[in-house]
Amino acid sequence: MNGMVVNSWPYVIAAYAVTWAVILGYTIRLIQMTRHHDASRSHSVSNS
Amino acid sequence: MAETTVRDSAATSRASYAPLALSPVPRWLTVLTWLTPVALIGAQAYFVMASAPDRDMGHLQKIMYVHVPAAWNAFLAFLWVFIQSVRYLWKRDERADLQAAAGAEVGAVLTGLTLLLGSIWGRPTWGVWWTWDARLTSTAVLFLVYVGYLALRGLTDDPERRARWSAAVGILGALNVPIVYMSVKWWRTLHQMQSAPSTLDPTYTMGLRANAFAFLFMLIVFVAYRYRGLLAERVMERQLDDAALTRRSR
Repeated sequence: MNGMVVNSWPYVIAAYAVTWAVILGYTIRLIQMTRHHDASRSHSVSNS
Repeated sequence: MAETTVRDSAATSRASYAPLALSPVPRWLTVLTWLTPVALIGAQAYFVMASAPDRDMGHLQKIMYVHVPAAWNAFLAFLWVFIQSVRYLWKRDERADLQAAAGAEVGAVLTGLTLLLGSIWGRPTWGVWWTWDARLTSTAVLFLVYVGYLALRGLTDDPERRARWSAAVGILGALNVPIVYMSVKWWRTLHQMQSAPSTLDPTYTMGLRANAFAFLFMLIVFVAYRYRGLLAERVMERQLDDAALTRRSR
């Protein structure tokens, strides 16, 4: 360690902001993908 | 949700062309999907607020509650890739390949997050955003291996070749995990020893465990939904293949 960090809160906030950006970003990707597949499946079922 | 099942035609009777089915979302996954955000928000909020600042690091210690669980769960994801890759090569079950691909994608996301969080922690602690330390470098290599794995899957349309190549890279890539884990012992560079309940002040162990489990729930949910997405894509691919074969045979 290089000694006590005087103001560490901005780094803590940045770390949690990055964490939630990644979690929410990936969650949105999964939701969009699931909706896309559901739509494609119902389309192919209605065509068959 | 209606169950979609695609059976292979007589013309394509390879072992990996066993029937694939997309079943409705299981109950345990629905429960875990709702439990995960509660666990993540609860564990982070409580332990960030409740834990006392570290003597040396001050409040920067709180980054450990996300950095370390992200790293551990990335390792678990790559262990999953390893198991499923071996299973694919042994059984030639295409579902194992899709499970491995799901694990690799989520593992790569978590490794990327680990690197970002380490960088944010390293700037005020070491004075640099990045350094070619053994732990950082081996983690970056692990990240690149799995990004390469995902890129490789896009290089061929032949599902059997794609699965075989991916399994080989998945197994070789997972062998890097023990190197990353042991790097702080083998090469004593800048990164401190592993943060684990055995190496931590008891004040912080409960917070680390709670957040690690919350991340584990998230890992399971992400891998399960990504697998379902890959399975749905594969089922549709087969429907197109079967339709093309039927047209050709007429």
